This record gives sequence, C-alpha cells and structure tokens, in this order.
Amino acid sequence: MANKDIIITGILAILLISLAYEVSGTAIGASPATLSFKIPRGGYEEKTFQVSTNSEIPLEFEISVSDSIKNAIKVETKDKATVYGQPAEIIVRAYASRSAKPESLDGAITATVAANADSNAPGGSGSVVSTAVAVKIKIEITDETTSLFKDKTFLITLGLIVTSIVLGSLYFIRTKGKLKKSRK
Amino acid sequence: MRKTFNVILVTFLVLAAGLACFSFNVTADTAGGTVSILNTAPTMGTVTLLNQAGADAAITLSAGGTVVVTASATVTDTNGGADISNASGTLYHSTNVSGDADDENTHITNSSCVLGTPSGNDVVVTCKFTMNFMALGGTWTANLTAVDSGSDQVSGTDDNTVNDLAGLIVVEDTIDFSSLQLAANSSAGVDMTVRSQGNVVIDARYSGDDYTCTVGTIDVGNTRYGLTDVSYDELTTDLTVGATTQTAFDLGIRGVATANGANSNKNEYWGIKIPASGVSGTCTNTLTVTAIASA
Repeated sequence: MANKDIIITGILAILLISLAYEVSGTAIGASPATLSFKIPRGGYEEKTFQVSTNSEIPLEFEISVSDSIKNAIKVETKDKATVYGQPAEIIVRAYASRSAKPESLDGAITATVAANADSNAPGGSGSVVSTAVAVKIKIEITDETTSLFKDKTFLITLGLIVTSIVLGSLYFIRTKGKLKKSRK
Repeated sequence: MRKTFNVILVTFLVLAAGLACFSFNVTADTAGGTVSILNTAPTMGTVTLLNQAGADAAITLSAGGTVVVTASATVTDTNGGADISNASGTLYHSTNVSGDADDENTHITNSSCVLGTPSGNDVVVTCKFTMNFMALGGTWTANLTAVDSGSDQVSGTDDNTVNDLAGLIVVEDTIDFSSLQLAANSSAGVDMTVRSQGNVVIDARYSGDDYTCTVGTIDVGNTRYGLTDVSYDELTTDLTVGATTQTAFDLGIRGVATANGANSNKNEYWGIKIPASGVSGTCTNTLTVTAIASA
C-alpha cells in the first residue's frame, strides 16, 4: 500500500471514529421544561421553548403534539435542526374558542431525534435507540371571555377619542360663533 | 541737583532689582511643595445581568453543554476611571450567598472581570459567567465588585431567572439482545444507561415499533423493561407503540443527586421473548427514549 493510500485511509478512519463519537451519546434537551397557559374563552397566548443539543453536527428532529391538546395549540418551528450553540426555537400558540368550556388540558410537545441509521444491533436482534425530549403543556381555559370593553387599553383609547371629539366640537362651535359675529 | 537725582535713581534701581530677586526666591520656595490627593471610594451604576443571547430576559441553558451570560456595570471613581484596578463577580442561585464556595449547581465566581477603557471618571466592568446544564432553575443573582488603587471597593447586584431544562443522553446507540433461539427469552436484562443533561429531575417515556426480521416480525410487546436487572419473566412492563411514562424513573440532577462533577445516570434493563416460529435472521426495531420533567 502506498504512503498516500495509508494517509487517506487514516484520515477516513479518524473521520468515521469522530462521527461515531458525535452521534453516540448525543444530548437533547428542551427549555423551559413546562409551559403553562391561562387563556380566557375566545383568547390565545403565545410562548416559546428551545430545543438544544451538545452535538457539533446538526441534529434533526421531528415535533409531535399529544392528542389531548392537539385541538388547542398550534406549533411553529423555524428550524427543524439544532447544533451546539444554536438552539432551535419553537413557538407554541394556545387557543380557546368562544364556546370552549372552562377546563384544564394537559399534554406534551415532543421533539424526537431520528435514530442513527448506521447503528445496528450487532447480534441477532436488538433495538436502535432514538432519543427525544418532551415539554409538558398545561392549558387552563378560564370562564372569562375576551371582550374589547374588558381591555383597559381599549377603554382608555376610546375615552381619549371621545373626549377629543367633544372638545373639538365645542371649540369649533365657539370659533364659528365668533367668526359669524365678526362678519356681522 | 541733577547728580543727587541720579544717585537716588541708581539706588532705587538697585533696591528694586534686589527686591525682585528676593521675591523670586521666595516664590520658588513656595511652589516646590507637594500635595497628596486623598482617595475617594468608587460608586457603581446599575448592574445588568444579560442572558446567553445578550438580552435582558430569562436565561435558557443548553442540554449537555454550557452558555455564557454577562453582567456589567459602569463604575465611577472621582480619582479617574483609571483608578479602578480590579473587578470580580459572583453569580449564585437563590439558595446561595455571594461568599459561598463555587458549586456546579448553584455558584460561579469570576475573579478577573474585564475593565473597559476609562472615560473620564467612568469605567465599564464586564463579568462573564459560564453556566452548565445542571445550574439550577430559578432566581440567580450577579454580584459585581470593583476595587480602586486605594483598596476602596464598591458592589452592586442584579437578578435574572434561569429556565428549567429537561435533557438526556442515552449512552448506548443500540440495545443488543445478541443471538437467541426460537421461543427463548433473554435470561438477563440488557442494560441501557440514561444520563441527565438538564437541571430538573426527569422521568423516561418509552415507545417502540415492531421488530423487522430477515424473515417475519416480532411484536413490540415482546420487549419488556424495568429498573432492576432481572430475567425476562420477572420484568413486568411491556414496550408499546404509544409512549408510556415510567414515573418511578426519577433521574436526578447532576451535582444534586451525585457529587459535583459526577454524572447522574440511571440504568434501564431490557428483555425480549422470541416467538416459537415464523422469524429468522436479524431483527431490529426503533426504541424511543424521551426525557420529560418529573411530576
């Protein structure tokens, strides 16, 4: 075997060993570990969590939502992979329809990493391990209903508009009166 | 008369010159003194503890890794910003105080924080802290201290929140049952090591699919698991397609369930029963191990 072949074989071996090392024992985590929502009927709330890893090579994952909360949330994933130092941000929006009953819903959103396809049980039978992390989701739908008139910001804005119109009208009437008098 | 005037003039000029010299000497003696300026203690402005993304928001840790957070403040010294000679900082969990010893879960010290370029009487002090995945969730306080050349010092603090992090590593890529005869059970459990990579106690959720063999399939329910190393017949929990939470798993936090620096591991033991007929060759399935915060 020529020296060149030996060097190439060596480099390939080191590369394979390092790749195997990266895949084996790769950490996956999610933070916060629990997301709690408290939403009135007809309302919604948005929160985020991060999926992170210690892997130096991108770790792809799939997001799944447990059936118990499937109808109450929407999940948005900008990235479906994470690498060390670059956590993937997952946006969770919880909704409650106006006709929803006050209740508490518990479930989980799971980020699952695909099993390492190169791994095979060396014996007659075995399991290829896939890792995942689940974020607990708690949704409390309250008896309140969202209403514009319950919104303080809306009420203050409305008050300011009405006051401005009234004052503006009074000023206009007074000014117009003065103009008429001066014309006479 | 004129002569007398000249004599008076010369005398006056001589006296004036003498006085001038005398007064010069006196002035020179006075200006040669030294003044010692007393040291003034520095003051510190608002301390800001930013998260790993440089934002004034909650800190999110990284599974199995570290994040760097930064605390900074402007220190003012009326003797000049350059009079600040040293700065240090501590970052500690609400269960600790600043003077406690370092601990991977609760306390970090940076004894050489960075002093910026002085601007007049001001200098910015910046302390970076590396937080590990096992740093406890909750309120953390950054305490910065600056010292001037006269050994006068000033301190200030700011709080931030560290989010909970659920995380794991499964040390083995595969669970290998090796070679078994038809209708045989695995006599001893095959162990799988789960390692904590977060800052909360976690349970494990298990799910799997049917084994695909060279010929035939093995039902996923032929796999059993448990927390003790026993034979297949003594294991009581069957693996299922839907995820099942093992609430007794309770894998503790590194440094809390173990000594500082020691990994927190838990073993799960696996067994399999091979059907009496219909299968041959190599059989493989996928086993999913999920970390979830313990109740």
